[in-house]
Amino acid sequence: MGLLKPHLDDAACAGVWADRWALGGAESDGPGETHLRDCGPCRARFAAFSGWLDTVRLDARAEADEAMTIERLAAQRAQIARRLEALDHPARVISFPRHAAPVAAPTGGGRAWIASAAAAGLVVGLGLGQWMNFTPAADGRAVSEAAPQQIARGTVAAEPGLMSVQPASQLSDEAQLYEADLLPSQARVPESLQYLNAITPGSRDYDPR
Amino acid sequence: MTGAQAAGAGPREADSAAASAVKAMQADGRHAEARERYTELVLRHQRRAGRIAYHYLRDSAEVDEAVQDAFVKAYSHLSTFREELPFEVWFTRILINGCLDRIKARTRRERWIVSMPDTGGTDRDFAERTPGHGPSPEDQVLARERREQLAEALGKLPDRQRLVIMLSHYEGCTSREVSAITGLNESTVRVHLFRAIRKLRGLLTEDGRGTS
Repeated sequence: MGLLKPHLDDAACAGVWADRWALGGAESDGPGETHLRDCGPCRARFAAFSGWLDTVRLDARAEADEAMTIERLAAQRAQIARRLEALDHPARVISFPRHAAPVAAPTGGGRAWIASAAAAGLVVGLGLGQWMNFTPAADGRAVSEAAPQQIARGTVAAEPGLMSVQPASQLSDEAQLYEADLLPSQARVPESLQYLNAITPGSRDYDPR
Repeated sequence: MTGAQAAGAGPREADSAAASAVKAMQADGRHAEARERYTELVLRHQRRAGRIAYHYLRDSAEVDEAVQDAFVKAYSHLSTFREELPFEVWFTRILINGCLDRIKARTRRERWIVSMPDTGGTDRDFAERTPGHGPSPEDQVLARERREQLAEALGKLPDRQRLVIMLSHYEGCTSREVSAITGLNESTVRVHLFRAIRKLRGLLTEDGRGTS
């Protein structure tokens, strides 16, 4: 009866081979195995088929092994070791440039000192500024600085010989600015030069009116 | 039938013991010792991992990166490793997933980048052509041609068939291991293996390329 069964083709050989692999190398009870036991030519064909599969495996492994040389594997191991080490250590901050002092953020105490010094400097500066502004008032001449406002309000009469003052309502804006500018410049002229200043025309003596 | 099936459970038990030890060391904060012990696992599985990655990627530089990534990932996720599964199986899953991700990324890249034409010979080719003590140049050329055809045929297999034949036949995994790695049941693995062999045979012998 066995001789009447069809011989094993490649597909049947593949089936027998896969069955044996699945069983860990043991022969199965399938029709292919039964036929192989009885048929010598099919046994030879199956042996050739298994040999072909072995060649395929050896070729595939040889090709991969050729690509992965010993040196490459060693380098790969070293790289793996480095990466594993990097996993266990947090990243380090490298100072740059090498010998420069590290840039440190000011501490809380330092920041408070800077703020206090800035505030003190501001107060001292403002005080000095005020003091220097009011110092000329001591000799009575700085009073004239208040004159423009008083003149503008019409509460003070102009000094004779210096300028003619009109009520603010009658002055144009340009004239008001001119007069306001003129008063302090005259107040700053020293007494010894007052006469000379009076007889000499100055650029500010130009009256736009 | 295959090397791994014949080789007993010794190395697998050693793997599991090493993996468990590394896991415990990591938990205790003994990182230097853990790394030292993990090197043992790297040494044992590196070549096999390289082969598997090479069958997928076929580029030495990319294989390097894929294998490194797999080992680093396995180390950093060792806390999720379950001892009832062989380390080899768990690690192979990580490796194959990484390779598949790389293939996807490569496919996306190649969609946009036009490859340069192959200029033919390289320095390595020249070195291989020079006479030496190994196989004759003719044998080398034939072997290389055969391997290229095999790789091409393997590339034409559907993904699952390729994975199953690679693990079972090339790497000597058992039916149970292939099942654990692929997530397929054992009878499905057997069907994929049968179809893969049949198709490979057809592809390699249809042009008289077969070795039988």
